[in-house]
Amino acid sequence: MRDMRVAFTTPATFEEVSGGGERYVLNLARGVARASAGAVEVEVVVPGERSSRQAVDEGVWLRSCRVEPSTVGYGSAVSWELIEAALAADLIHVHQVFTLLGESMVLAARGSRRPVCVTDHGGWVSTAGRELGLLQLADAVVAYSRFGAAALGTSQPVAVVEGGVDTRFFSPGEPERPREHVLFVGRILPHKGVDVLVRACPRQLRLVIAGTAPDPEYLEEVERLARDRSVTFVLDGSDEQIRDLYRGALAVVAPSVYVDLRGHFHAHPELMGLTLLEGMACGAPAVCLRTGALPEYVEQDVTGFIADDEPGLGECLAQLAADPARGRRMGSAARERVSTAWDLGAAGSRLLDLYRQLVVA
Amino acid sequence: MRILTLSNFFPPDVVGGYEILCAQMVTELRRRGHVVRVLTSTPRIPVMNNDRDEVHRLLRIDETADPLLLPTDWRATATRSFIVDSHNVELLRQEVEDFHPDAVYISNLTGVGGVAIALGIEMRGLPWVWRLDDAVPLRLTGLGVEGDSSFARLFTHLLPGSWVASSQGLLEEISEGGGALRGKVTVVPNWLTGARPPGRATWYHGQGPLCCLSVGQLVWDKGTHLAVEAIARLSDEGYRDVTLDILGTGPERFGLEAQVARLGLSGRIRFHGQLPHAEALRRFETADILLFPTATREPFGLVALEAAVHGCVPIVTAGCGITEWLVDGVHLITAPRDAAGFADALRGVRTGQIDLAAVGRRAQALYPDFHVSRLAAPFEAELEAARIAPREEAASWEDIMRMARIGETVAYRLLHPGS
Repeated sequence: MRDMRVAFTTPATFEEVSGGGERYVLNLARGVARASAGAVEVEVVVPGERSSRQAVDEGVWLRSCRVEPSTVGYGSAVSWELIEAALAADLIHVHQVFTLLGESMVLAARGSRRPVCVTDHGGWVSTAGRELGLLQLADAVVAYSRFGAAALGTSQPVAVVEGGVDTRFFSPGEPERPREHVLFVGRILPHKGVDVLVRACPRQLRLVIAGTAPDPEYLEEVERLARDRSVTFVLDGSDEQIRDLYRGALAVVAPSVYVDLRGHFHAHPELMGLTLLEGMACGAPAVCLRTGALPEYVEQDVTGFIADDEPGLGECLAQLAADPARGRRMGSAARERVSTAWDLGAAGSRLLDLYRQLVVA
Repeated sequence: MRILTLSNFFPPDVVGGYEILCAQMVTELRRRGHVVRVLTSTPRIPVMNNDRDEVHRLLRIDETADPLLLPTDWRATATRSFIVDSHNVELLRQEVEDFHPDAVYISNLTGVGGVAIALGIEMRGLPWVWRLDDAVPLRLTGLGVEGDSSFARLFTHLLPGSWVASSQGLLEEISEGGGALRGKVTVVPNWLTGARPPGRATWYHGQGPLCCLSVGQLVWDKGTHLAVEAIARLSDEGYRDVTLDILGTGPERFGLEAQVARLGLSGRIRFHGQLPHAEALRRFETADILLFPTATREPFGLVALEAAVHGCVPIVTAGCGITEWLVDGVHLITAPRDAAGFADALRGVRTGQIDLAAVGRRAQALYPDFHVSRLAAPFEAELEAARIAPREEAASWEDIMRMARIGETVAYRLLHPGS
């Protein structure tokens, strides 16, 4: 018996998922539905070329709504059909709130007196909403790290709901495989610091770089650095391929930086680091730079290492290579931490509590 | 009641009949003892406002874009026409806090900005009644995108309330466009004002010259070209004593004058420009027929009602809003929406086959039923019902203003993709 319908809106088309921020939305939808034991239905409503609706999991739907022809492009597309569909729900959670769609959605939700939660995933396309106090129109602001909450710069209370990893899919596997390579998973972009990792990784270790490459020039730069080193690129791998890579990883690394190799400053380079958590769920120790929200998800010397700079990053990786037993202990602790605290069911449960308070109110 | 009235423009600055109707209702509501304040736009023409305490001409609402402007200017005007303007929402706040209305009478609002003002009223928990003279939001208050029903559906979702439409056909048009209105919906026809017209003693009876009138804006939608062609058809059949006087102005005038010249009707079809309303009414007292052949749609057709009660029998397009109230062959004559149909009806009159006197007498008798003193009562009742109906919790002005400011930027970017 359904007792609540929740709409998640996000500007991603899901034909062009560009980062963890998009997959994460689906994870949370699954988590909420799972935590409610069938009482809550979540419809993820996204813009698309045509209207469609499909079930993606128990109690989770993906609905695509036709975009207004004059408003195209990620974060700039608006769909009245989407807004209308979302307003049919009891509560609306607006993801990627600082986009034209996000701003329109918040206005429509407030206008129709629907409870509205908002989350920023770092996909800023519009600054107007932030400058004009859009968050103050929301009934709840949700971030997935303390860093992310602070980055919003709002006086509104922010609920921090950490994690949201599908630990059923991302698991160490049976039997556990030998862990032989250092792994980066994510978009190959300058602020992800892939160049830092290539330079830092001890030459005797094999490095695998997996993900998409939206910036061809940066990819070329990374490939140039990787010459004469043991580096493998896996571009556009499937979820199963990525999971296999996690399962064989000596360490999963998030080398994100505030200042990239082009000298550009990124104020919010990582709001969580979903791939780091996925790797941990697969039993890989986590290694990160002290950047953004990443240190919130790694316990030093327990689930992995937090490095302060490029040489430190290399040192951490060398330590793990030199002491496999220590790496196994860390990987096991990482898996345990993600399963208990940051699984999508746990995140969904916390969100569900919040939603119930808002809908009752 | 203290009634705040919102209208895009207000006499003497008018676009057409909607603003005049609004002013007439305001006058009647005041006559009934209500305190009515009007919030309207800065006039486009010099207006010496002698009614400063009652009509506040402060809003920034432009009439829709003029296609004769250069493309860049058109764009700018269109933006101002459709944009959400937080300045207007701030003015609304000031008026509400100063005037403390019991209810708001929404007459004509334009563009998405009009929706924003209405949404501000709704969110503030103010009782409101929206008079629908046209297919809002498909026209007037939309994004100017024809054929897209999603915005209409969203509009009606956001604004549940009290709606008073001028015809059932108008409501059906709104519904077919995707915007089935939510809340209480009633139908009250357009109204007449002033003293009862002098009773006409004689009507055309198939002998001698037949004098026809056409009154209204000279825009393609009004179908004046069909009236001209109908006259030409009769002329071709040998009825050269059928004349047409055209009252009104608009962008189609030059085209119509060319059409008249081409058809060789310059002596029988005359253009008089826009005459004062009272003068137009006087013309009804002497003309035999009003030709009202709208080319596309007509939510009501007030001019046909005005003609009818003066004994000037209207020939109107079948399906006009007014035909819900005045009956074909009883109070007026209907014709298909083409020149041949109007020529057939005119021939019936010219040859005496249609008993114009019987139709005209019955139409004249309708006057009291449509007088504003009678039709204000149901409108007043809707305002009162809205006033006492339970309301949703009011949002703060701070939130409403914040929404207006953000809405302003959203609307701008919708109208200027890529900005």
